[in-house]
Amino acid sequence: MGFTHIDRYAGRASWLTAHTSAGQRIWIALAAAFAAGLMPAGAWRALAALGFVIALGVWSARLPVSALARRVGQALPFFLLPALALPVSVPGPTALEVGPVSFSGPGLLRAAEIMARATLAVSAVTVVVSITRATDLLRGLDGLPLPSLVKSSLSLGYRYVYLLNDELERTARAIRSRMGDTTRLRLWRARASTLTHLLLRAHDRGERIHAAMLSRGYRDQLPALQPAALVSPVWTLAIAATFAVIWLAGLMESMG
Amino acid sequence: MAHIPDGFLSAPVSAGTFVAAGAVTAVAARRAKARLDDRAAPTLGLATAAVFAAQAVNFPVAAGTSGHLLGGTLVAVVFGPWAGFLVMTAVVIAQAVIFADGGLTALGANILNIAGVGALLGYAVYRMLAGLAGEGPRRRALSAAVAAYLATLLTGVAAGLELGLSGVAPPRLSVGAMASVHALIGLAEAGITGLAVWGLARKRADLLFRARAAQAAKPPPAVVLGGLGVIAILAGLLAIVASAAPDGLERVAIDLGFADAATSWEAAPLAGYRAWVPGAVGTLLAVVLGVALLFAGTAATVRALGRVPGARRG
Repeated sequence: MGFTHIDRYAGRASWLTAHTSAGQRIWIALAAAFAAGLMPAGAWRALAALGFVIALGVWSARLPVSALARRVGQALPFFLLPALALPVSVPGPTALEVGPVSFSGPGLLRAAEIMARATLAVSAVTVVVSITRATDLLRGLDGLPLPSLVKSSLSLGYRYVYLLNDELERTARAIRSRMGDTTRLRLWRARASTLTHLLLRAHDRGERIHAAMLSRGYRDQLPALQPAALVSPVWTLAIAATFAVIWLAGLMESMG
Repeated sequence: MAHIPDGFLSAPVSAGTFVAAGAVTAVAARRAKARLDDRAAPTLGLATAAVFAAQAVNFPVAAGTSGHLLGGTLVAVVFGPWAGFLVMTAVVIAQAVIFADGGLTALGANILNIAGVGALLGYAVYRMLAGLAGEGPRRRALSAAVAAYLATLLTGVAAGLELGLSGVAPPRLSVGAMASVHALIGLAEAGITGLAVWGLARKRADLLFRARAAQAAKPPPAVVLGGLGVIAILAGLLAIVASAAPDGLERVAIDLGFADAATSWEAAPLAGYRAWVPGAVGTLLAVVLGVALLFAGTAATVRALGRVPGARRG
């Protein structure tokens, strides 16, 4: 049940980390994900250009390609399954037949396109998450138009999830040592009661933390302990503009 | 499954869901702030951490597979609907950024589906059912379980609808597929949520809202159990019938010339709806309408039986 999967920071200094701040990298990830995710159908040349720019980003971030591929691969099942429905459902001349299932040519093409868009978007986001500390990412959220309660939920959630998880692991160990091999029904009841206690503890701890925050002069605003590094936005703007231009080119390409 | 990745939604659907999700999030932030005041930040932060931790607890299902809590309805039951919405919004954002589970262009849609339907709608159903069923751990647990089931099912329907409107697949197919999958996922969600709320109601009933209206009339537990169980099963069947089968059902009905007098009683109002509202919107309306009808029917039954003198506490 470890929670090592939350921190995805690789700790590599690179051209990208030197020329962009954490907050700016969030905007780059958003620009890339939107350019890839909303690329119009049939814009293959623009999609290839986008792939080239994102590959350039992977190279300039000096991330090991195998590790990156593994992380992107973990997301693959999420979009592989829905995309597989396309070759069967989109009408058109049959291009491939596997047993009783026939895949239509246009359907296969559309599935490939969606897979490409999804993979590019996930790659861009994964690069940014891999070269940015989680705490920096959270502070970078400040620039986004999100309600402050969502931002504070994310940063406090990050701060306390490890603690709650430690409690969960202790409870799980206690359950294992007391119950041993047991029926599924009893295991469900035990695990559900673990969840009940998790929620109760989180609720009560929230009240204690609130009291502690008040005693330290909390005025309804979470302080940032470390000032954000000041980095010129020139490169961020240039990269985001590149993505925007490629998307526009894709739009024109799709309209012919 | 419910998390839509990047590349699946069309630009209009992405933009529309972003606007809608932004509006609901703004309202939720104001309402949660009004209710929790400066306790809001720590309370919601801990609730977010709790949902993340809870999602790592595995529940063995069958043949080596296991499920886990999604948590929308449960967190709304404990922390309130608006707080629950914001917590699930934070969870969806973190999942999209850290685990690439759900896309950034689909963030608006995923927030609507998972936080909006999961927490807000789940809470609304729970609140209505618990108000009818009354207090007592078992009644609370059942209300929460049914609410979690419906919320999960409709989360799937909403995702299928957005995919269908984006032109990924014919709406009928995408809504049907998502509804069928979530009709199964919902069973695990209902079980986990029900058991967790059962524990909460036994240990800290003060955290759960108090049903004032229900104290006057308390129907016997068997009626409540039966009624709620029927709603859950029928809603699941209805979703599958309304979204996956009508191709076949309608053709048979039209071929045999009794399209108006449909094959089963619950299909009757649906057939009419499908006739004039095209595709997926009709399916969604049909599911929602069917659920609402069943809900009203069961509520009336529970109410009527609740007035029987000598009804016991659950």
